[in-house]
Amino acid sequence: MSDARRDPGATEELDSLLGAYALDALDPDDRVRVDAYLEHDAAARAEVDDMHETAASLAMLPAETMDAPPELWDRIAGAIAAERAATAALELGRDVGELDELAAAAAAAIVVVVLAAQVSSLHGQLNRAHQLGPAAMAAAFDRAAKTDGARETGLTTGSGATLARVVLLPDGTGYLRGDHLAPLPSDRTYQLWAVTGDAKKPVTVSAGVLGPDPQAVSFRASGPVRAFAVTIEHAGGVVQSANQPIASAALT
Amino acid sequence: MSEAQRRAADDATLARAVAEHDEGALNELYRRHAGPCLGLARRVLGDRTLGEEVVQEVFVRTWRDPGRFDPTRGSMRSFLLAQVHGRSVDLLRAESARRAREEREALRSPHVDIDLEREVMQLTEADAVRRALETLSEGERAAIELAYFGGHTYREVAVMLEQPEGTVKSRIRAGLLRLRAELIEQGVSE
Repeated sequence: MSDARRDPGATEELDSLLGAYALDALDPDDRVRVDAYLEHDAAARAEVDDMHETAASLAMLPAETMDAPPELWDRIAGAIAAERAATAALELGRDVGELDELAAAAAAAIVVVVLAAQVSSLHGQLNRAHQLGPAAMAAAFDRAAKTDGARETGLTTGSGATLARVVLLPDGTGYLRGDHLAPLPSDRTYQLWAVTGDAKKPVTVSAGVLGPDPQAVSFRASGPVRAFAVTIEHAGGVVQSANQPIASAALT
Repeated sequence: MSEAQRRAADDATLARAVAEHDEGALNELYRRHAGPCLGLARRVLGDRTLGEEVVQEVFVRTWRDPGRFDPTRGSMRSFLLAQVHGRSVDLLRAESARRAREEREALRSPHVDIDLEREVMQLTEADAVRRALETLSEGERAAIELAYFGGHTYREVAVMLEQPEGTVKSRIRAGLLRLRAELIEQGVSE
């Protein structure tokens, strides 16, 4: 039993704070005390619930009438898409044993060895990816897919959904179409990673910062690419990812 | 659930649909409640952009963890508004936000933007809420307004109103209880 419940005086003092508690008008120390009190006192909890309802009525009196803007919903929907992508990534992590060995190396993603050149070229990748419009890039993707020696693969989630397709030409030029990559909030970006090296010692390098809504982009990859992976990062991208990829694929 | 079903569903049904990852159900809750949420956040924070960030955060959290809403403890509207208010106050009390706010407040009278009667007339619940507010003493109203819309702690309100802290916290509680009783009397609350 809490001290407050043993001591009527303490209970009375805590009860006197309930109104301020309901209006978020307590200092942190008082709030902690009231939180503890509410855990054990159903009547106090009910009083606070009622006060929240009353405060909600006050909230219907804004300084100006505000409509819910559709743009704000778009941002919420984008954030939810990112949540779903993260969930897919967790599923990918669970299913990782079923993936190709090299794709699994991409899924691990924590083991990222970043070459010095990639650090300095990261923002250059971002700029290049957005120099051409998505329509031109989509056409380039289609042309590249028909080029001799081109290798094409679909980046899939752990549940098997294909989120994007990648074409890589023998000279290291690559194209990505993200037809099923949900738009992200503006403070996030998709980032493409290429896995090179061999299965025992994979090396993962950034192949491009794709932006929050990559319909079609180009990128450059050096060395013998064995797999690709896509992560969600803060806008601007990172030189080393600590996130699980949302989709990956081995390149045969 | 179809769009027509969502439009006809009550909030508790929509909350259950959100728990089953029905994004359309969250969109319907947004359509119903985001306006008041944004109005409250903007009023407390004095900044529409920050207010939108708070509303976004609250709706995304509701999507992520819909079980936090307990329909036995109150309405969805009060749940969302309480989340918005709490987060807004947290932001407001961050030191940088506090400094910016103090600078803004130095330029205006504390009563200029707390004109409840004028705003009351703009809204459906206006008349009933106005009548309920009129039953409060001036001290109760001032304490509640400064705490809720101003985002101040009751100790800060006590300083602003030059009243003992005990008086202010009592006025806030008594005022809210009286307000609730009046709203029930007028059929606005239950």
